[in-house]
Amino acid sequence: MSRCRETAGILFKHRCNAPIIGNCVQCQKPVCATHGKPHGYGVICVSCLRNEVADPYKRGSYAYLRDDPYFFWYYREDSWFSDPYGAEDYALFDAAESDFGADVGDDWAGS
Amino acid sequence: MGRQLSAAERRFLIYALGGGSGHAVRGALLGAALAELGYGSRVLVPEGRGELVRSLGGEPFQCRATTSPVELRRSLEQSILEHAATDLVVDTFPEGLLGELDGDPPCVRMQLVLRARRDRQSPRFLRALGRYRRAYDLEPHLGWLCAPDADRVSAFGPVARRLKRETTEHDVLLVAGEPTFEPFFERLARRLEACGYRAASARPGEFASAGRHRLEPLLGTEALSTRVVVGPAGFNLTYELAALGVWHVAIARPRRYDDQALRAGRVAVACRSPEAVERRVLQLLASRAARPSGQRVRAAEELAERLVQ
Repeated sequence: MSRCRETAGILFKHRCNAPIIGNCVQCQKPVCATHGKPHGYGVICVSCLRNEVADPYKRGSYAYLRDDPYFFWYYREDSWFSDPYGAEDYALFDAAESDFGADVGDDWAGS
Repeated sequence: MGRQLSAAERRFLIYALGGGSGHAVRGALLGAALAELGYGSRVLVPEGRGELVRSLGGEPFQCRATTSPVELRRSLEQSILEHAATDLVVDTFPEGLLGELDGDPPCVRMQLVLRARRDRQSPRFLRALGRYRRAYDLEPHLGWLCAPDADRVSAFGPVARRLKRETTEHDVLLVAGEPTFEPFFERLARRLEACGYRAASARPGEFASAGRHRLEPLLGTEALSTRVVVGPAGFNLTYELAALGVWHVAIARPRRYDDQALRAGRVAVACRSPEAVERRVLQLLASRAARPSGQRVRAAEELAERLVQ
């Protein structure tokens, strides 16, 4: 019987080897009931879900995870606020950094 | 040498074409100031900006936006003829926005009003400078103009509206010059409010809009009474805030000609990341320091007096 291949822990990584309930919908890793989180019609592993939660744009959609010990550190108050801005915000400034004005169309609006 | 024309005989056409509304605002102020002095004046602006010019006391000529220099030159000539202009005051583009002034100059006195241009070294710009009887640099403090003919250009200084300060219930005003600012400003406002400050957003939709990216940033006086304004480093906003003594945390926007990066760095508090904006706003609010009144901002009337000499 296949065993869980997820190694993510609450504080430290460790082997699991618990019986699996399915494969992660993103990385196809076999996961157990502890490491497999419901995701659409399938399950997603803790590692992949952490990647999702790390994205400030997506974090709000996974707010229910704030009470899950595997994600506690991702939703600590200072962690939540330490990176409030996303790629869209940085893009406002990037325009001024590299090849300033190159993205402006050849029309009156960019003058 | 020709006879000196009297005030009644001289008629000014102000070339205020360009994107954004900065040219139109400046042109309208100048047109109104010339009219006050007794000179006939009209302001050539893109279609859709007529109301803006009228609201500031100017008389507009509206010109259809085009990509054809020939068509634009024809519109300009028609405006000169219709107004019986004796003087043409060109704002920012000595060569014309589409290069339509590159050919034979029209048979009127030509004067030039310049702000910092990114393409200051381009041969076309440098060539065009030499065609003007007089030129006034509105941003000499930026040291941007290093043309061979730079000595023909008089250092004048920035011209902007003088707005009155009023009491306000907000600490910070976020001026979204473009729709792309809005998501960032929403997040920034939340962060500032979490720190106990009141932030207001001036969204593009709140201004009279003439298209998705065309704004009429006629900031109300009450809006400019906040302690800190976060917004782009366009000419008008930057110098209106400098005149008011309101801190301006500037986000330089890419423009084909307008050198917002240079202006932001020299005149405002330039920030290059979302975190930097937040940090500087919080620093300024916490320190309660007044903005130093280092930058002299002049009235359009002063420029009008120079143009009629």
